[in-house]
Amino acid sequence: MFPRTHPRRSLKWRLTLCLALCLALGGGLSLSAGAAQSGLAYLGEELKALQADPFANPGLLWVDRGTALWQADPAPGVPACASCHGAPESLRALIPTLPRWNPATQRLENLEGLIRQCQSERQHQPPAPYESEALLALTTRLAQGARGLPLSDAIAPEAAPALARGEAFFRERRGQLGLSCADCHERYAGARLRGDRVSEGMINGFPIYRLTWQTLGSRHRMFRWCNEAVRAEPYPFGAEPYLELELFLRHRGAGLPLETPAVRR
Amino acid sequence: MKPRGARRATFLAAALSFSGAAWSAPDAQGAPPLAQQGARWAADPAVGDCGICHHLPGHDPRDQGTVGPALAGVGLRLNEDALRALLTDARSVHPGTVMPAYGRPATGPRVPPALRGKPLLPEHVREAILAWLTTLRHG
Repeated sequence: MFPRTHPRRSLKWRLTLCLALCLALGGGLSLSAGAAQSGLAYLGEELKALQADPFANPGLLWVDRGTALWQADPAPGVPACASCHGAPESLRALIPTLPRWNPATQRLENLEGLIRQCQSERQHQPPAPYESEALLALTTRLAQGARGLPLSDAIAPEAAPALARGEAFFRERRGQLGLSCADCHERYAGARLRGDRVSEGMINGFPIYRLTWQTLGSRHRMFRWCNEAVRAEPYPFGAEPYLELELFLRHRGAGLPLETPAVRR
Repeated sequence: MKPRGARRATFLAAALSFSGAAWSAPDAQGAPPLAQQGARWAADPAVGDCGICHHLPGHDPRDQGTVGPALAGVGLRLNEDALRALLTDARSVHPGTVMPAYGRPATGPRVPPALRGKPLLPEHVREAILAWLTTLRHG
């Protein structure tokens, strides 16, 4: 230990220090052992009310746009999403199982990837770019249609290695700050970073309307933002490491109800 | 009634005094200039950004972090060498800590090329923040 400027302390002070250390080392600051909590639980009352308000939640603008896009023919003679799938709610059961393993491609696929694949292969259109207004609107509309359903814990056996890599990503320290996802969202969930409470990093509200962005963003946008915050090089949207992280986070948050479009700070 | 020139000088002195008080961190008032500079850098989100994890004395606790211990009295609890070691590479002192190494070249995964091999804070900034930390002797 380092020499202290005042080495003589009272027994009471030492006992207090021991107790504090035991609490910290014993996980007194960690919420990892408890049940998963949505980011909603870490918001102030004002933002909770904003998310719950069916007229004021800003994410609902994208729900409306998504409904229109779902029903519109993307080009003359090209069928709309609705002409094959019917209402967005017809895909309600699929949403909580994403990302999932695709046995044909031997890869993980998420909601953005499925929509882009459909646009390319079925509608013969250029797929909407990641984080475009069109893709955000469609993903938000579909996820909103599954609101209330719990995130699934169903993982195909073939996806087990991807799940393990996703967890390894979650726990690996990276960037100039040398911090992992787990450092903040597991070990210090509930603590405050500056004035904001650190959430558990759950993904059940995405796409989210984030006040910091003043717009809506996908899960991969959030991953990229966190990577950049620790001064790490982010991966491209839709990259394999992010799909694996997304899979692990679905598993980690299994049971949490979908609440798209969530509002976050 | 003071002459006009004297009144103007008084006004200017008051204005300068006010702007100085607003600019310097409340707990660093009266400290040596290096420590005052360190207080400003410690609080600046673009430099030290210590307040993201720690409560800096004199700042509103609602805008400060609780990940690390409050810094009030840290100059009483730890001597200068210990504080310097923590600022340079806290994980060499406490292996489990999440406190980044501010004085070691960044070599971990996914460090952008422009930042690779560079410490988070240059030595003169760390020394100024250290000078401020040693003045925090009221817990």
